[in-house]
Amino acid sequence: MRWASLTIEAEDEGALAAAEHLCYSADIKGVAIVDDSTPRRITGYLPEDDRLEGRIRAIDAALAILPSLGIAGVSPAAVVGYIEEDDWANAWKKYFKPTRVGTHLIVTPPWETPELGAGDIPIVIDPGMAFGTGSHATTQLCLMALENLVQTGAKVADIGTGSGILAIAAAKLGASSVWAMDNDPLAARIAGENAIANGVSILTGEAMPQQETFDVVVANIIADTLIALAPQLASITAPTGTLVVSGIIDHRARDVQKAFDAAGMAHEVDLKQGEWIAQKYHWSKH
Amino acid sequence: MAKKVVGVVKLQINAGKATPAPPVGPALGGYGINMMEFIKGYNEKTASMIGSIVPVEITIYDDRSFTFITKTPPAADLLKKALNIPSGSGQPNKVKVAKISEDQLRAIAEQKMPDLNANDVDAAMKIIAGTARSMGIDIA
Repeated sequence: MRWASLTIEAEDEGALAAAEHLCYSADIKGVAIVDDSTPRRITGYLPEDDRLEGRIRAIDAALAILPSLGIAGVSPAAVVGYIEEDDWANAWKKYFKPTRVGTHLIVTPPWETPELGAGDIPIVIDPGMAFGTGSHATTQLCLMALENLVQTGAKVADIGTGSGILAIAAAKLGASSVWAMDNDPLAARIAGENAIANGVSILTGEAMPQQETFDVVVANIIADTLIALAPQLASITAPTGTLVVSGIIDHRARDVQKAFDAAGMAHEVDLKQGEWIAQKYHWSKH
Repeated sequence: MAKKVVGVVKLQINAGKATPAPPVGPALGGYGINMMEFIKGYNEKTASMIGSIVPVEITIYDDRSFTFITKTPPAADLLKKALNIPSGSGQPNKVKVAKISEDQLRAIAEQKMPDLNANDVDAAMKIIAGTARSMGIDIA
């Protein structure tokens, strides 16, 4: 089936509101609006059937009488285009393919079956509302760092877990316990669900862990939050542990480093991908 | 993490009844975002407003995640509710369906103010009055 798209141009907000009403009275079920450019544009869609021609005529007739009602600035006729019906509900899925990150981690959406080589570790993430689909540089930097850092039996904390991707990777890499924290309750819940879908168990919560230290702490957030959390992130890193912070845009790297210097930690290395930086820290004594 | 905005899409759709059909499908399809996640979220958020049209503004980021905010119903929708009429006139220049008072107009303008690019309530009232005329509603 094809759909007809009807686009009406409007000079100002009043004209746009009149055009909106016209679409609804033509029984158009919903419209898309572009109102940050001039002229503003409103587009409605009608199925291509034997009523279409009559409906378009009715809309054009209604447009033509607007000036006589004192409403100026609406285009005198709708511009008609046609689009093919698509499987809109599923079309977006083609954008998400299995992605290899580091040596053995393969991030994959649930509808794909990645080809796995020896030692490969699939991480299944449904790219939903909570961030962290594995496609972003800041997440990839953390995944690569975790692959090198997480030893069998390690205790890991993931602060700002989002989709839970890093916590799940840590569990799959052999961590004995993983604490996944996010102050957004929705993210904490989705992280837990994603862990179950991956067959691993992680602890999720909305608060920072207290009185506990971890062999690996990872925090993929943003520079300002990392700076604010620096003392807390340091305090949960074990004396021989490693802290990985990410989500840092390149020009903020030194600000973040200052905060962790002040918290008593030693900067080990900057990991870079594009304009994004992740940093590794350990305790200076060790 | 700081994400780049790749698009802002504005739609007006029926509260609680969004589907992947147009306008949602064609408007969001090109961005490769999880459309069902949006539809579920929108319908959940607007379930209590079924029967109204609730505009929504969707911001899409470079990692294909998105956020959305809902806005006040369009002026025509508010006018119909305020005047208790099922629809506007098909021939607004000839057939009048209702009459609206200055106070009613002002109340709707005040409700719509946050979403209009109007400097003051008088400017907003002018916009609402235009919509009213296009629906065959006389201004008292």
